[in-house]
Amino acid sequence: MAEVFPRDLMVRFGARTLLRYGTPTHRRRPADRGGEEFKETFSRADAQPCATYVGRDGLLHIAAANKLRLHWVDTNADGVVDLPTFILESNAVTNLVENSDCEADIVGWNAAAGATVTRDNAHAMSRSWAAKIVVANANFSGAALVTRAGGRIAAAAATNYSFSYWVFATGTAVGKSIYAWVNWWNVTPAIISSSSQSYVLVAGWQRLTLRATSPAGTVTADPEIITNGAQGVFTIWADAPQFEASLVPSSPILTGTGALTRAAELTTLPLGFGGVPMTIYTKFVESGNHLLGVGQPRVYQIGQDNTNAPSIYLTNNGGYSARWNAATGLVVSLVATAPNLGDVVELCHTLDSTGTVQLTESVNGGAPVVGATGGPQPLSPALVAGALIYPGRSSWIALHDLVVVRGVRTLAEMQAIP
Amino acid sequence: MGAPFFLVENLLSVTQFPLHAVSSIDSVVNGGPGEVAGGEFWRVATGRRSPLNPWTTVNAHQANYGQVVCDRLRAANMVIFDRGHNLGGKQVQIQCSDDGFTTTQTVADIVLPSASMPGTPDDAFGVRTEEGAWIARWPTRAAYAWRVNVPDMGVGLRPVIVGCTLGTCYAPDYFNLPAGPGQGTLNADETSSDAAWVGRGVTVFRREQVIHLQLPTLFDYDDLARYHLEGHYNAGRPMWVCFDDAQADRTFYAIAPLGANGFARQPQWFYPAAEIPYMEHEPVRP
Repeated sequence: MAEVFPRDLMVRFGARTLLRYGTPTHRRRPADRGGEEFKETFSRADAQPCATYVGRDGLLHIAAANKLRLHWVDTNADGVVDLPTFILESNAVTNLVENSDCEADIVGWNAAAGATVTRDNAHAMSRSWAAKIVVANANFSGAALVTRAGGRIAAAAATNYSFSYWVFATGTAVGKSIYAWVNWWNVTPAIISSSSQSYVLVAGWQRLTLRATSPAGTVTADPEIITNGAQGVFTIWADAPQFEASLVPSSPILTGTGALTRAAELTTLPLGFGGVPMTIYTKFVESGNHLLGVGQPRVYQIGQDNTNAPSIYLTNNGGYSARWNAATGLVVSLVATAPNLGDVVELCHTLDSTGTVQLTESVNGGAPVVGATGGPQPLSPALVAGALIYPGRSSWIALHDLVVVRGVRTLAEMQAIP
Repeated sequence: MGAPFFLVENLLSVTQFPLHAVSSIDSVVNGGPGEVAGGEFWRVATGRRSPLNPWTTVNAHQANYGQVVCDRLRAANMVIFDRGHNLGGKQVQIQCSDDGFTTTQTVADIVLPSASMPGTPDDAFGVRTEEGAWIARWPTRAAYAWRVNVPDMGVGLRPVIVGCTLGTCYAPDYFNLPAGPGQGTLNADETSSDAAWVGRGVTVFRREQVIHLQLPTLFDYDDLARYHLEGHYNAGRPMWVCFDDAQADRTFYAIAPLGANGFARQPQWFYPAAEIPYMEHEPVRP
């Protein structure tokens, strides 16, 4: 195995870089001595601060507009966050729950099936207050989320939705079963059908999620936090519920007085090199790219979009696919095994001097899976005018590390870089 | 035996970070009258150690803070208050925020020790050095804005901080031998009479020596040593030096003497190595 030297390093960006260097993009000289000319440009044009991340303390915090979010992930489900990432969500998303944060009041949280719902500050995932729900000894007991005006949340038919919320359990609540539940209503109004996912509560905070497609005829919906069966009286705290028109639950958007939209995110890194043999290594937490339409996501792209060659990019076609789109043709290397939500994924994307591309993937530290090579197509010096964009269109990533080096390297060599 | 560390990066320094905005507010309650003229918060990052040049505030018996708004996301894992502060036995909070302090995260909330004793910067109360400085370290955090918050100190009391360094420390695994943290020179203006009687003016022992550092990898040089030592320290910026973080009470403040410095590839060691000269910055006068 050949060692990667510092001189081979062209780009390094990510949460790992931040904790090692002190800045999101690597630099080797102080700012006042020209060491930060190469730096990221990040945008998320929120109209008001609402984007969140889980901090090192395991709680939700708010980032203002155009601020990168350092988000910590619990990768081994032991209740302690252990992997730093940047959340990068390329699509704008609206949280249709109008009062998810409960900081000022509990309006929009209705008790269901004999439960009591109050605003409480004993346990809060975000800021100071959460909804304290004392469920009754009954099935479907808990809280239903409505608009601040008291009506159901507007929803569209045949649309992908995600419902999620953070829940805190302690004492007798631990081990109980609880739903993430959505009723779909038509114009009559009557319930058309329901979608649900049941979970067993663990001690402390956990995020419960539901992904569903609304049926034909849907005009409204009411998401609910309710019991799965009569299990006695117990207490939980719920915070940061999110109901969004999205394939997968995105990071919570905190609301208080109405629905809020988190803007699309984009990171751009200026590149000073052309079409040279290179290796792009990226390590991230899978956040749903494999659920998007075939070929839709652009996890990253260098140069132009695929419709405008030349470009190097990573997409997902039932598995991650590395591509080199030369002016003379498109070549592909696909790893057909798709990671699951929450998996820690490492990808090694190589492009050699002949213009041959290959992708290697490791999931959760497992054995590498190597995709077939694609190519060759001649390298293009025109890439010198491009930028590395992360993420590209329609992509969700919780990025730990992105490293671009000269030459063709193996996954093991890239993993060995300090 | 612990590991050494250096702290030279200072997010509060607008010399090191020209795009940072450093400010303070005199009262967190009502947006008070502002800083004392001549006692502005930016003075804590000048490297001067004079008790006549501190950050202090107009009003006593209330909470006060100094803060920096960074130009990008910045990480920090250590803070050092220089000697001359009046915070022994008082509560201090290191805070950060990503939304302009609409919401605040507390990184460290410590009542500073009043006496020096051996300890590490990772201890619950940090460690007070032999000359009265205070050091605290935490798992690296990152934010767009950082704050040193001093809650109400009591009747008639206002915070005084002569120097403050907030940033990411550089902690190599070890210093090579020989390593002599107590070595230095005795300095004085001295004259000798015809009878060979020696008279001296003020006599001060100044710690000064050379730290021998052989790096274990090329990345240790490129990523870390080059930035902290060649970038900051060799620009003449004062740096906190600790030979053994298990005895962080012996940490001292040093500057680079004039002359040649820097890392090199040496015959008996493949990776970059350096002889890092230092001399104590403004040692305590007897």
